Amino acid sequence: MSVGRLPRYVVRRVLQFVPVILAVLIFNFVLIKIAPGDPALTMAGEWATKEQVELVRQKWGLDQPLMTQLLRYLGNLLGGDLGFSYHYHMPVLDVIMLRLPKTLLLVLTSMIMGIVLGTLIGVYSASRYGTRLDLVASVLSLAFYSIPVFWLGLLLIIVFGLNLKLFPYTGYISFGVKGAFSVVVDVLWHMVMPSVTLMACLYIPVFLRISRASVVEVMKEDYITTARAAGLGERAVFMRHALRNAIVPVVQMVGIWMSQALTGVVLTETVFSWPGMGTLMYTAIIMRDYPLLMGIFLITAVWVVLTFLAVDVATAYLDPRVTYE
Amino acid sequence: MAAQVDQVQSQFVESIAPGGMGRTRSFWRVFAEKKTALFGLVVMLLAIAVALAAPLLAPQGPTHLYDALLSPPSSQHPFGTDPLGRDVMSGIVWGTRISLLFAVGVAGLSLLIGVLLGAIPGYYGGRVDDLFSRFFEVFLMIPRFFLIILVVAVFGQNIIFTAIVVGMTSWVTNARLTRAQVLTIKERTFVKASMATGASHARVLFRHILPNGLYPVIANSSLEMAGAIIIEAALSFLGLGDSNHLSWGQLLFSAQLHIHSWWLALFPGLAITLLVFAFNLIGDGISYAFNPRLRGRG
Amino acid sequence: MKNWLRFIITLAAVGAMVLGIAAMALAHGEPTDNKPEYGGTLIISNRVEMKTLNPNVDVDMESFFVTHAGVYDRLVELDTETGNVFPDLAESWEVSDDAKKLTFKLHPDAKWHDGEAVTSADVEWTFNKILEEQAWQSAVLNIIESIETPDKHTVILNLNEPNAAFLSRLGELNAPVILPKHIYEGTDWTTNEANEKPIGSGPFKFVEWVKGSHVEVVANTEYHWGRPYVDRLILRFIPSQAVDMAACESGEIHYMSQSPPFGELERLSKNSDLKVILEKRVLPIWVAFNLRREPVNDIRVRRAIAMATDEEDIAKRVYFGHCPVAEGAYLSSSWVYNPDALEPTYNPEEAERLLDEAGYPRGADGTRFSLEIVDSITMGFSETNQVMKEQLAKVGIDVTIESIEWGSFTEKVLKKYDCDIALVGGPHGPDPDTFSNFLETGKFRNTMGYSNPRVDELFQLGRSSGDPEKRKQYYQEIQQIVVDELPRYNIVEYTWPCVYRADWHGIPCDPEYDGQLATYDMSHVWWDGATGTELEAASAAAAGTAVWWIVGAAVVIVVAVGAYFLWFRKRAQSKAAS
Repeated sequence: MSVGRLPRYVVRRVLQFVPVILAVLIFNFVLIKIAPGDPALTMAGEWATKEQVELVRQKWGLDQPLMTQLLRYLGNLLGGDLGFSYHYHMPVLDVIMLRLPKTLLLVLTSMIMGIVLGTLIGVYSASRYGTRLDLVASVLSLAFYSIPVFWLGLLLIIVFGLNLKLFPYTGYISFGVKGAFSVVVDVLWHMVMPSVTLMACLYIPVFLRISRASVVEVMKEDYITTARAAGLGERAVFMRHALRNAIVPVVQMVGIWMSQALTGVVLTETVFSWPGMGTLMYTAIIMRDYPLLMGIFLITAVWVVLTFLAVDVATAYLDPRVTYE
Repeated sequence: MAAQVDQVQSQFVESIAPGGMGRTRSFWRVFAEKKTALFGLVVMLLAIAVALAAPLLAPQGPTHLYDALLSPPSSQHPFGTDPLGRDVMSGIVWGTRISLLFAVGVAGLSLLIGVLLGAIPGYYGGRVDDLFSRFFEVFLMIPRFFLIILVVAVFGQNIIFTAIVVGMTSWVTNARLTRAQVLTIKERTFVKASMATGASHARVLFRHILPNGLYPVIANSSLEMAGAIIIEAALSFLGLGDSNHLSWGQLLFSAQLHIHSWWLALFPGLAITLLVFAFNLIGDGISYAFNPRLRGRG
Repeated sequence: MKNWLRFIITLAAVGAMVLGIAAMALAHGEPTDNKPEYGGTLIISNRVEMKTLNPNVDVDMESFFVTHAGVYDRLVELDTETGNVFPDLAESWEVSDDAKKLTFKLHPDAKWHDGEAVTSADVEWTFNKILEEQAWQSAVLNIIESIETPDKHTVILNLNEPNAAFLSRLGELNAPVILPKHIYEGTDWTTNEANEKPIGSGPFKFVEWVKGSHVEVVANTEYHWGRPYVDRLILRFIPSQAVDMAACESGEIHYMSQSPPFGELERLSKNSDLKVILEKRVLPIWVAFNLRREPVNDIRVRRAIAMATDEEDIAKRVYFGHCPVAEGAYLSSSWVYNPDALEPTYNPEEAERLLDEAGYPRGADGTRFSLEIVDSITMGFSETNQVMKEQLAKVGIDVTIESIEWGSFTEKVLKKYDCDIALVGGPHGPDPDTFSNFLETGKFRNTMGYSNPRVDELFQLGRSSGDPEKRKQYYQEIQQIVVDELPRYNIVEYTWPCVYRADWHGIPCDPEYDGQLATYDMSHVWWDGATGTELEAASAAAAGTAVWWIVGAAVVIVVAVGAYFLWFRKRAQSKAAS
C-alpha cells in the first residue's frame, strides 16, 4: 500500500461525494416543499387572520417561486448560513450544534463499549466454535437484537427508574447542577440507562455476531491451513492471521452504524427524553420547521459521507487486497 | 435501523455458493438440523395460526370497548385493558394480522424492486453496473429512518402507504445480493449454453439465473420481515401509526403515557420480540443451510 | 454548699439550657397558620420553549407565565374563574354609553424596571405599533379608531364602531402587554435586545433566559400593587408529558402547565403531596360537519350522527369522567347559556330510523355509508375519534379515522376542507362573541362552511349592544338556531386538570384562593415552607433569630461555667479530704 497515493484517493472520493450531497439536498428540498402543511399557517398560529398569514408568508420568503427559494438556500449555504429555524427562533446551525454533541456523546460511548464487549465475546465464542457456549452466545445475541430498543427502554424505566429509583431516566442533566465536576458526573449518571439499552439491544449483539462470524469465516481460509501446515501454533494462527483479516467486516459494520449515529437513535432518545439530534429531527418534522429539517438533512448527509470515507480508508489500510483505483 | 444491519447477514449470505443446494429436500434436512431455525419456524406458524384464528380467539374484535378502563390483568382480561377499555389480549391477537401482513408487504415490495434493480447490473455489467452501483451507494446514504418518519408524518398515517414507503427504502440489500449472484451465475456453463442457443435475455434471466440465485435474497427477506415489524412498531411508538388498524406498536404508544400500567408495555413488546426473533432465526437458518462454509468445521 | 442546694442549682441550669434550646427551635419553626409568607421559588414546567419574551411582536403563547402578569403588565386582566375584568396597569376605567369610547386611568405608581415611570404614552405607543405593523394582536385592536392621551395617566380609546365586548377583549389571551416606549422607540422591535432581556412594569423582573433550559424572573419589590410573596419564578421547558408528570410527582416541578393524561388523575389524586384540580376553562370539544359534503349536508343524517354519539361513554372513556358532557350549543357556565336549546340526546334506535328515512339503508354487510373523521390528536381528540368509530359502527356508519398533527390538520381541514367531519376544540369565551369565530359566515375557523344570515345578524347585534339583557337574548337565539340546524354539536366541556404541589397556594386554579387571578398569573402564589424572603430585609429576619441564638448561647455558657466550678471545687474538696 503506497501511502503517497492515500491523499489523492481521499480527495477523489470527496469530490465524488459532493454531487451526491447536492442531489440529496435537492431531493429533500423538493420533498419538503411538496409536503402538505403550510408553514406560514403553522407559524401564524390559531388566532391569525388570512391577512396575517400572508404577512408571515412574505416575511419568510415563502411566497417566492420554488427555484428562487432553492437557489437562495444554496447560496446561503456557501456562506455558512444554514438558515433560521422557525420553531426555535435561532440560526439552524446553532440549534444543531446544541444537540449534536449530546447525541454523539451517547452514541459513541455506547458504541465503543458495545464494540469492545461484543467483539471480545464474539471472538472468544468463535474460538470455541461449535461448543455449547458458542451456540448460547449466538442465540442470545440474536434474541437481544430482536428486542425493540424502545421497548427495552420502557421496561428498564419501569423497573429501574420508577420502582427501584436507581437511575435517572429522563434528560441528560438534572436541573441546577453547577460546577464542571458535578456536571460531568451528573451527565454520566443520566447516560447509564440509555447507554445500557443501546448496548444490550443493538451494539453488543451486532458486534458479537459479526466478529464471531467473521472470525469463523476467516478460519476456513486457505492461508490459515497453510499457516497451520507450516507448524504455527493454533494460538499464533489465531492472533496473527485470523484476527487481522477478520477485522475488516467489523470495521465496515462500525462504519454503517456510525453513519446512522445521528438520526438512528431517535427512538432511544425519545424514550429517555435525551435532547439530541433524534428528538430534534422529530420535533422539526412535527413543527414543519423546514429550515431546520434541511439543516439536519445536510449535516446528516455530510456525516454519512465522512463515515463512509473513513471506512473506505480504513478498509484499504487493513485489507491488503484492496488497491486504490 | 434494523434492516440496515441485515448487511451483517448479507455479508455471509453473499458468500453462499450459488445454486449450491438446488435440491429442496436436502435444504430442509440441513435447515432442520439447526434447532433454533426450527423453533423460529414453529413460532412463525403459530403466529399465522393465531392471525387466521383471530375471529375465534377474540370474537369481539380488537377495538371493542369494555367497561374496565386501564385495569391490570384479571380473569376476564388476561392481559389487562388499555385506557379506552380495549382488551389488550384481543389487540395482540388481531394485531398479529397487521404485523404479518405489513412484514410480508414490505419484504415483498423490497424483493420485487431489489431483484429487478439488482439483476440488471448483474447481467449487463460494465457501464450499467457502474451506474447502478453508484446509485445504490447514493441511495444508502439517504438517512432512511428520517425519510420514513418525514414522509409518514407529513403525507398521512395510512398503514398501506407506510408499508410502501418502507418497502421502497429497503430494497438495496436485495439488489446487491441479486447483483452478486447474477454476476457469478451468468458465468456458469449451463447459462452460457442457454445464451448460445439464442435464448432471449429475459428468458435466460428469469428461467435460468434467478431461480438458482434467489436463495440469499430469500434469507434476507426473512430478516427484512423482522425489521419491518420493528419499524412499524417504532413508527406507532412515535405516534405515527394508523388508528384504523390497531397494531402492537400502537399498544406500546399508549404504554408510554401510562407508564405505571406495566401490562400495556409488557405484552405487546413480548409479542413483537417473539415474532421478530422467529424471523431472524429463520433467516439465519436459511443462510446456514446454503452456506457450506459456515457449517461443520474441521 | 449543701448537697440539696447544689442539686437544685444543677437542675435549674439544665432547665435553662433546655429552655434556651427550645427558644432557638421555636424561632426556626414552621408557621402554624396559612398566612402567606414571603419567600420561596416556584418552578413551573412548560412544554415548549418560547421564541421571544415579547408577546406582542410574534405569535408565541409559550412565554405567558413570565410575560402576562410576569415581567409585563396588561391594561386589564380577566379573572380566570368568572371572566370579570380587573385592573392591572389601568387602575380604573369608564365605558361610554354608546360603547364607543373607553377611558382608562393608569396606576400612578407604575414604574418600569429601569426606574422610568409608566405613562399613557407607553400605552399609546404599544397599541399604535401593533396596528402599524399589523402584528398578530391587531385582530383585537383593529377596532380602535384613535387614541388620546390627555395627561400622563389617562388613555382614551375611541372605537370605530360600538363594541361592548372590547373591554373584555383587552384582557384575553391574545391581547397585548404594554411595552416601554423609551426602550423600543426608534429601534426595530423584532430584533430589539429587550425581546430577550425584557424591561417591563410587571410584578417580576427578568433575571436570565438559558436557552434550552429555563427562564428565571425575580420578584419586583417596587411593584405598584405590592410585591409578590414568592421570591422567584423559574419556568422550565419540559416537552414530554410523561417526564413532566414524573417531575411533578418527585417535587422537581411545583406546577406542571401540561395536563397529565386523564387516566393518571386518579393515581395522582391519591398522592398527598399533590393537588389535582379540574379547571373549568371555556373550551368545548365538538363535532364539526363539513356541510359541503354528502351525506352530512342532510340535516337528518347530522341529527342521526348526533344521536348515535354516546357522549356519556366518551366522557367516561376518554376523559375518565372528569369532563362534563355538553348538552347545549354553548358552555353551561356562560351567562348567556340557553338551557332550553339542547342538542339531540343519545338515541341509537332513532338514529337508525332517521338514516333509513334519509335514504341510506344498511347494505349487505351492514354498512350504510363511510365517513372520514379528522382530528388533531391532542386534548383527547384522537381517542374520542376512536370511540366514535365504534359507536357509529353500531348504527351502520363506517368511519375512517385520520389523526394528524396540527400542521397537516390546518392544511387539510382549515384550508382544503378535506374531511367529512372534523373533531375540534377552541375557546368560546369568556365573552360570548368569541363564538362568532366558528359560526359566522366566512370566518377562518368556520370550517363547516356554515352560513346563516340571521345568525350573522345576531352576532353583529350582540357585539354592538351595550345592554347585557339584550345581548343575552341575541346569543340565546343563536344557540337555538344552532341546535336546530346542527352544523356542529358539542361533546364535552373540556376541563383542564391542574396539578401542583400541595404546599403551594394561589395558583390560578387553586379553589381555596378568593382573589381574582388571570390564567397565567403567578404573582399571588405563596409557599407553606417560606420563612421569609431572601431578597432583602434578609438581615432583619436573620437578626430576629440571631437574638435567640445569642440568648441560648449565653445560657449554655453560664451553665457550663457554673457546672465546671462546682465540679472543680468538689474535686478540690475531696482531694483535700484524702
